[in-house]
Amino acid sequence: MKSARIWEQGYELRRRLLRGFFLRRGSHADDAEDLAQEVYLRLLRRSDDDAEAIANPEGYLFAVAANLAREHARTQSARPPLDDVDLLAEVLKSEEDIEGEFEQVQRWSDIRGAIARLPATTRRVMELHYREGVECLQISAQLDVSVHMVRKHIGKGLEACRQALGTREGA
Amino acid sequence: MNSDTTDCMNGSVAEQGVQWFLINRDGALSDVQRRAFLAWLRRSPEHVRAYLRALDLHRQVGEAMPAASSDLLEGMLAEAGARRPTAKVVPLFAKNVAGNAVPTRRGRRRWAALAAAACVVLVLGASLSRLWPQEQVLTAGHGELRELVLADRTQVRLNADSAIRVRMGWIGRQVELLRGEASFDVAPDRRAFEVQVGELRVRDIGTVFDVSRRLQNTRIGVVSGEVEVWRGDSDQQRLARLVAGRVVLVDNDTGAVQPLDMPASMLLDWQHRKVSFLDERLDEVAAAFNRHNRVQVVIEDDAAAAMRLSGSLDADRIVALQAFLARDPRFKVQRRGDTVHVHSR
Repeated sequence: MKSARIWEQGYELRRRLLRGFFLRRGSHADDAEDLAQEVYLRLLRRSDDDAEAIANPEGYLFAVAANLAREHARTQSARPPLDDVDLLAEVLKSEEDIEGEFEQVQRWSDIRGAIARLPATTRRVMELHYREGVECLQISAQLDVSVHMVRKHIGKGLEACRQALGTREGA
Repeated sequence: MNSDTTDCMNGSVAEQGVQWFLINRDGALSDVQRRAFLAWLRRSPEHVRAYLRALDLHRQVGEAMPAASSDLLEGMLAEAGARRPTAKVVPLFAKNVAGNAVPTRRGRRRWAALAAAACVVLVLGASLSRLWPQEQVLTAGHGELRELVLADRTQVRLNADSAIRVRMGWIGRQVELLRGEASFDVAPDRRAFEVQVGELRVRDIGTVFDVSRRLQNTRIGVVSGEVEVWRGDSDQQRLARLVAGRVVLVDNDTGAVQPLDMPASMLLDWQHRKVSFLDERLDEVAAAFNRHNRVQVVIEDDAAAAMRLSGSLDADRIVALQAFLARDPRFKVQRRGDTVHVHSR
């Protein structure tokens, strides 16, 4: 469960980081795009036998993204270099203000609507996972389906949400 | 757990991203899975984005579904046909590549000409055509990507603003890259297949490879199989033998071979109208974009031309390139009409 723990530790930072990636609009949209591209390119630059990347690919992905965001914040605002992660999180948090409360309520409503329209089992899995906080393994035992199927249901549910959100954004 | 990994390779990139994300959340990836996940991430920027989006989506859904009794929703109906097929990753040289298949007017004329030529060949008889080397110049216009099948069934993709001369002879199959860039998926045949770029000759041994004729050098990348790179006409000299995955630059003047640490698959990004560059000179980056766009990027001084940068952008998004360069403190960027001028600071 090592990676799960790492996941929890870094979650708050990642959450803010990702808002930075996906909330930027207007003139910042291209910058956000560049960031995603650069994350990829830095991943590529590492050799295949990079121990750090292989030990925890996801953690590694976010470490790269965090570094980039840090550099980005530095070049954008001409602020002094950010050495500490908390400070970085603060900078990125300000990005969240770009999205208004109204948009957030709309998004939530779109997501709930999409979940309500799912087939019964998929809907049940989504509710157990996201509303009741039940892990995939437990859902698998509770509903007597394989963990793999549980993930498939969640994947299906998230895809429906993604499409509902995409329609609104006209993406 | 292996079946999970295998299944992740199905579905759209977005769906794969979600599946990988969920597997990661459950913790405890096996060694095989970790490597497979890393390899998946490295396939394209779209894969990285798909993963980040999956995370973002997961977070949003978590926020939108506050803890409450799920019984309220139980029994609510409305079966949704919400799923619609989404784009899949197109494998290299897939048989049906939408977008490239649309014939341009020029393309149609060319096909008509080819058809006419085919009729003439029929009249003359097949044996004569085998003995007589046929020469053709095939071009892709500015901003146009072309997919062609040569007489030997070799598949060629031409980048925008590129041209090749093809000679199918009795003993050999020769292609000269006159300008630009092309990828070859060479059909097996008893005749050798050779791509000539200036003084360089790239000899194939059953292969998919990409050749780009650039400002200072020629770039050769091998996706599968093996090629040999030769130089000179009379006193031929073998410069390199490249196996799958290898990418090299060959200097136009000296013939010096420099290995590049980049995946060969990245060289084919142009086939999806993407320009990807890894630690690349700015003048080469500008040339790669200029093939595709009316708006031209002009590098105004040598210092700027020699500066190196990395990125991956849609070929038609000059605005993104402009923003990308403007963000770099080494450059001064000005747009006047259809020209983007880049100076060093």
